[in-house]
This record gives sequence, structure tokens and C-alpha cells, in this order.
Amino acid sequence: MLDFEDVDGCADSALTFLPALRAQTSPPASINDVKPQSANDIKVDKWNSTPLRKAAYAGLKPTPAPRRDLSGIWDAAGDATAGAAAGIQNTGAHEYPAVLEGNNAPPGGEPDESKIARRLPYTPLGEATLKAHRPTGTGVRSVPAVLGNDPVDSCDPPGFPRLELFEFRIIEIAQTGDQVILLNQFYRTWRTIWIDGRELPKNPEPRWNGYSVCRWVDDYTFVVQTIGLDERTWLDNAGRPHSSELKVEERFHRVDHDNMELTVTIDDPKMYAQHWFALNKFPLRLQPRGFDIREMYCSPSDTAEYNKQIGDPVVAPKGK
Amino acid sequence: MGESHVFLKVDAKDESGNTLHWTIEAQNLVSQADAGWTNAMFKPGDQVVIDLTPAKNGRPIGRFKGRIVINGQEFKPLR
Repeated sequence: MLDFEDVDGCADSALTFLPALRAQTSPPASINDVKPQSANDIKVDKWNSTPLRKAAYAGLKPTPAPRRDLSGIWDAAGDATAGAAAGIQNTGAHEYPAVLEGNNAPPGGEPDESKIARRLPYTPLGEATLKAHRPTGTGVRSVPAVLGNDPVDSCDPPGFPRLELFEFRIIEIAQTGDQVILLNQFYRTWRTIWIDGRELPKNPEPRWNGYSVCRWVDDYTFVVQTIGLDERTWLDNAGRPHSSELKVEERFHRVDHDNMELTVTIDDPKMYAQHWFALNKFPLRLQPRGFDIREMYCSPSDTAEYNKQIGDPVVAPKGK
Repeated sequence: MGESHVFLKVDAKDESGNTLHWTIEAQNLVSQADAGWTNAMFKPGDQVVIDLTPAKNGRPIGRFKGRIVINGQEFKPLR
């Protein structure tokens, strides 16, 4: 929530260095008189901050992005329209949700994805592997929580690219001289992307988040290549599979100071007959300076309690 | 799941006047916080009206569906 009354001396002194204030002949009567120049300047709760709604950006004049700089805290969840917000992706990757035509909340229980609106180009192995996965989200194939086999349900790491294809909310991006570090709110995990010119490893030992290298294709577009991903992970919440041959490309394009787009391409010839876009120019919005990221862990003891209180009783026979 | 879901425990009388102990599931903590929920939103002894989707097997378990009224005041989610 915005609370313009709660301005301490420290915040006040920091604000006096803003360009908008330097031009004034007298200090503003209150912070309400200061018009934000970018998302950086909007006030948020100091602890466990809530991401800005789209309306908070209204009236901000787009300003140029800094050159070769993605650093900052970015929100991928966006505003909810119907059901969960965009980055949550409960029904699978944003571009290929496992939903029925005209029904974003299918009842689940379907044996395959033959009825969904936008189908993926599975190979026979991809289709068979998909059927072995029993997702518990809200897609067409979903089953009750205790009947599923989603590795995330037992607190296994979601791994990459699922970190961007499920519960994609807040990411903090930090840049050093030879690394770009992506810090995810979901599972409080991070990925290291090397920008020192090294090549991807040959025959890599599988890792949950793989091995990533990157390059700037222009001053505002940053492309990441990732391989060496652990086959135990799923691509998304609908149970889409991948093999050890998976290659993922992320294309971060900073549109202006406050806005970025992310395109994620899945290339896995063992599971899919052609590459596909899981995210396509997906919007990310810069969060204010001082944004404090709320924790989001998977707790095995909480999961056990959930199953005891809800997961097991809802699949028990009637009347028992 | 993959992250802790919030649930609420409520006592409610059925049509025969018997008290049932309901467990009502919400989304994960971050989603609920983004919608404006806080850990002080419900307190023991509050009188509540809650729209829910009940479990198919008839157990007193449900999911939050829409309207939430706490001590006569309707809660308006942020999202």
C-alpha cells in the first residue's frame, strides 16, 4: 500500500537529490507534491512490498533505458484479469496454456491435451512422457494434489526454465563485471549467467538450473543460452516434459527505463518436433527503489500439514 | 502446490444444527498477501460469511470462491 505520510529523514534526504527537486526553488510541502519520474520513485511498503499495479505506471513518461543494464527488481506477475495473474501460469506456459477453448478453468482429469486450444508439437516420446506426468495445477490433465507426481509438490527444485514458466513473480537482476545474476522470489533461488565470453560446456553434468552464457545483441537486448538441464524437472505446471537435449534461449529486451520484455524459446528435438515460444515478449515491470521481496519457499512440513488437512481428505471415499 | 497454501479453520452449523469444523483453502501466502490479506485478517471468535467451493466427497473442506465477510464487513481483495 502507498503511505505518503510515512516519510523519514533518511528518505527525505535521498529525495532531495532527485533531478525533479533540484530545479525547484523551494522544497515541496510534502512527498505528495513530488511527481515520480519513473517506477524507481514510487513509494512502496518498506518490508514485504506488494508489486505495483499497472495503474501506478499511468502518467509516467517513458524514459530511455540505460545502456547494457538490466539491473533492478522486476515484476512478472502483472495485474490479474481473470483468475491468477499472468506470470503465475497455473495452467502451463503462458503461450500454451493447457485449457479448453473458451474455458480457462477446466475441471481436469483429461488423459491428454487433445482438447486444448493451442497444442504443442510433441514427438511420440514427448507425448508418452507427458502422459506419465500427472500435474496438480488447474489444467485439463490435472489431478488432486495427493494423486499427482509433480516434483515441485514434494519441494524438489523447480529448476530452469520452470522458474520462468510457473510462479514467475519477482526477479532481481544484478550485474557484475563477468556475471549477470537472476534472483528469483519463487524458492529464493538464483542463476548465474556468465558474460565473460566463455563457451557452454561439452557433455555437461546435469544441473537443476543448467549452465548459462549470454551476449548483448544490441545495447538493450540480452540473449541467454542455457543447456545441461536436469531431466527430472518439468517445463511448466502442466507437466510438459524435456530431455537432456533441451536448449533454452531467453531474450530480454529492455523497452524503456521501466519496461522489459522476455521471450523464452524451447528447443528439445527429442520431445518436440519444432522449437516453440513459451513466453513471447512477456512484460516485466520495474519495481521501485527499496522494494523488499517477500519470501516464497516450499516447506516440506507445511506440505505434509496441507496433505493431512486438505490433500488426503478431499480424495477419501464419500462418507468415510 | 510447491509453496505453502493458506487455509482457514471455521466452525459452522449444518441444517440440523450440528457444528462442523470446516477447513477452507486459499492460494499461497504471496498470492494472498498481494490480494491484501494479512496475518491479522481473521481472529479467533470472528463471525464470518464465506463463499466456497466444497469438496466433491462431502467432507467439510472447501476452497475460497468469492465473497468474504468478516464481522459484517465485506473484504475487498486488491487483485
